Amino acid sequence: MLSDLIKEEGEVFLLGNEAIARGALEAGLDLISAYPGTPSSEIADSLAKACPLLRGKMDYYMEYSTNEKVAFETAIGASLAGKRAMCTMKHVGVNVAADSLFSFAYVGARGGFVVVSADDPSMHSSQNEQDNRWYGKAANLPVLEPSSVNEAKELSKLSFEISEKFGLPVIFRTYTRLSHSSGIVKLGKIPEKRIEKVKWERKPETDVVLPAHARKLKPELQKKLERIKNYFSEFSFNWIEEGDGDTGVIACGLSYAYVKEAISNLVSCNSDFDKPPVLKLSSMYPIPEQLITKFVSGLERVVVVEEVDPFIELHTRALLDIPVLGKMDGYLPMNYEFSIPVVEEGLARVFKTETSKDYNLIRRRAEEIASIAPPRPPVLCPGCPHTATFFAIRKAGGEVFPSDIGCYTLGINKPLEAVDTTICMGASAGVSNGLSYFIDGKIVATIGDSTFFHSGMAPLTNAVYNNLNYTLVIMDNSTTGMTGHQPHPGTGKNPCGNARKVNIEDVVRGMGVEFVEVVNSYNVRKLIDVLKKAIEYEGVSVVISRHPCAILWTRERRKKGRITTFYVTEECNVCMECINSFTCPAITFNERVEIDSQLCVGCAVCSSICPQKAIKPLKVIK
Amino acid sequence: MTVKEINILIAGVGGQGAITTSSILARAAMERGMNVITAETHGMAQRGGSVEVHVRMGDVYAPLIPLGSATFVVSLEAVEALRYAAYMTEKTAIILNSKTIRPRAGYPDFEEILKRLEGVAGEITVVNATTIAEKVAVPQATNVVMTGMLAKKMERFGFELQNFEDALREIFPDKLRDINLRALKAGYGAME
Repeated sequence: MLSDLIKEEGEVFLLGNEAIARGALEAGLDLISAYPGTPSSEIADSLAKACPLLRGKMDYYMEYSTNEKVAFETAIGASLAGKRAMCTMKHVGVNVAADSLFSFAYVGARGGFVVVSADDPSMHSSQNEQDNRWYGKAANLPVLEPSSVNEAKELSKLSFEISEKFGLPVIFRTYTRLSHSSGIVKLGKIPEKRIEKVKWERKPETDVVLPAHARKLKPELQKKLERIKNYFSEFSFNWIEEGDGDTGVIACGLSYAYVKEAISNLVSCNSDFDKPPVLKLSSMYPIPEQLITKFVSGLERVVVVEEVDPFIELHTRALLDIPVLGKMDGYLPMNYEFSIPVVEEGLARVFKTETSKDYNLIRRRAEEIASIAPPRPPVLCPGCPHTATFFAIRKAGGEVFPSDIGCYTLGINKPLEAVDTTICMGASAGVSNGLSYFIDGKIVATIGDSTFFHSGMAPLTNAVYNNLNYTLVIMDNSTTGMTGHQPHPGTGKNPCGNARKVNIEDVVRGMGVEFVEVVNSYNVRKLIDVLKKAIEYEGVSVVISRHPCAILWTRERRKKGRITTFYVTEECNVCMECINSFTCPAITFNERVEIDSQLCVGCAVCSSICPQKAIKPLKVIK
Repeated sequence: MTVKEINILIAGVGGQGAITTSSILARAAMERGMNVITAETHGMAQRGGSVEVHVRMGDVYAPLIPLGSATFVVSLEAVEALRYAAYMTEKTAIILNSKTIRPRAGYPDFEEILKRLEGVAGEITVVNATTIAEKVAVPQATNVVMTGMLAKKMERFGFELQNFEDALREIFPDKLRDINLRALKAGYGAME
């Protein structure tokens, strides 16, 4: 909660992501830049909300950047000016920023630099399960990983100091289960601070990564890494807990929480099972070799518990000459997030003992019980302008549907089925480029407004340049919807400072697209007409389908107190067009078609597409 | 009174206020000087999908309730409870809202839902919390009515209604405070 985030002292209950934000505030952050993405978004969102409230006490700049690479580079600029900067992104966002990351590792940080990578084990809201600790290994950078919400705050704060002490950008790895957990946080002081401009100091020998410079910078980076490796062996967030037996457990990040409770369960149900020694690790790279060597002295074998890839396991195998168990030989699962039962089962396999409960029996029984529960998949909201746009695209004769990342990915579902590919941000236009060379069919690609600014502009320019033939529909709901309604250049808003609006149609025309039309998404008939023309057009055409996100639009009208909902009249002949071609969570069919007035937000699109004109406005009810 | 561990699973559909419920419970635990951890669902899954929030109090470290370890399951919608049977044991007490939200894929018979839950949980309290919420406040306060019901159940762990009232005052802005306090008390009263 915002009031807790900026409270002066005491113990408060914070979301993991708020705790990371609080750590940055206590570190006297100068700049936060971010592109939103689940599960990272609330770090920047909470700093955006806190920014105006702290002005005059603890000043900092906050920006939603156009993409993760831009966010990363904005933060580089702040660091090179000697200021403390954090940039936050979801794990796949680091791929976008990777070019900057690898080079900035050579340059090194001046002001504290922290990049937060929010990984998503189990892919709750992501297209892959990549483990971003590899970026530390690949780019020669330190990686930290907290084990609890309170520790997330402490480590976030300390990351800035570590960054400055060693002159290195720090990768702070969090993940869904930590970012979206809440816990009790002991607050430290938020420093009083103003931002002052500083003189630019040229340091081309480090800041310009010419080959001649880079050749000198690489061994320097390796020396820094060697120093930080020793520091991590004495690091206060890594510790050893004594125990009995010849097998030790290395517990990484949040897995420490699972290990603690799993061991306690095993002890409670097996009289001959003694608590094993545990090494709790929060520094993931470079590997604290001295500490691990010290931990295993006298042990016969060690098991590594970590989420996603066998990262520490691989390194520990290379380091030690005793058996190292973990994911690679099947003691723990290779995929998906961990939990107490999963870790308990893994440890039971290692220690050849029984789990406290028969978890497999519980899972099987639960599956049987839940078998009659109807699926409740996420759906596009009532009044969602994307639904209208997808409906129009199908009616206009689109045949091939490359799409992108956003709520609109849900257009994959019946009856719309207007999403054929989703790869990553911006790939709708990118993939269309290649498809247009070979596919015999009308290509209509869809991309959101925020995604367009993020990485849709370059592939669209490519289409103009190479004279390719497809239609790109920019679904402009004037927000970054799925991640919690963050602003972007097209909105002209900035939560903490001045902002200017960038018009999508101006941008598209400026790129050289000659067919550009803007249509209100709810005006389906016009949208179909324009789309038909766009599809027939020889060359790349752009249709901007524009209507505010239904959630924001409805919230705004609800404040004013008047929403007109719709109902189905006796004229309905159950042709099912509104259900089988169009679709809306508010429209139900149970012998007759009905509209749930609790859910209807009054967009009137169903009314406009009903062949019988059998959907009419009800009295004003909310 | 020392309580080692209380695990509460809140089940519902996106928009029913499961996260708000967990915030009230967490602050009530803090009022009692207990450690507390919650785990939420964010992002795409919220768009009308099934939502689960875990609340763990006491001597705990991990955010998710282990399988077979829920002390309470609060189901804001009837059929949703079925999805979380893996967390239930014969010691689990379920508070089930009899109000249904029917997805297009159909809906099972209510008696069948109850029968299945009875086979796995120790105790089930079925209440139309939405009707109570409509009567004393607004239907959107269903989650707070159910929090009041849970408050009554949690008295056996030393919790008092006052803890929940104080928590609620922290969470809600002034203009929503009274209406939610009414909903909380109505839920609490319904269990007496």
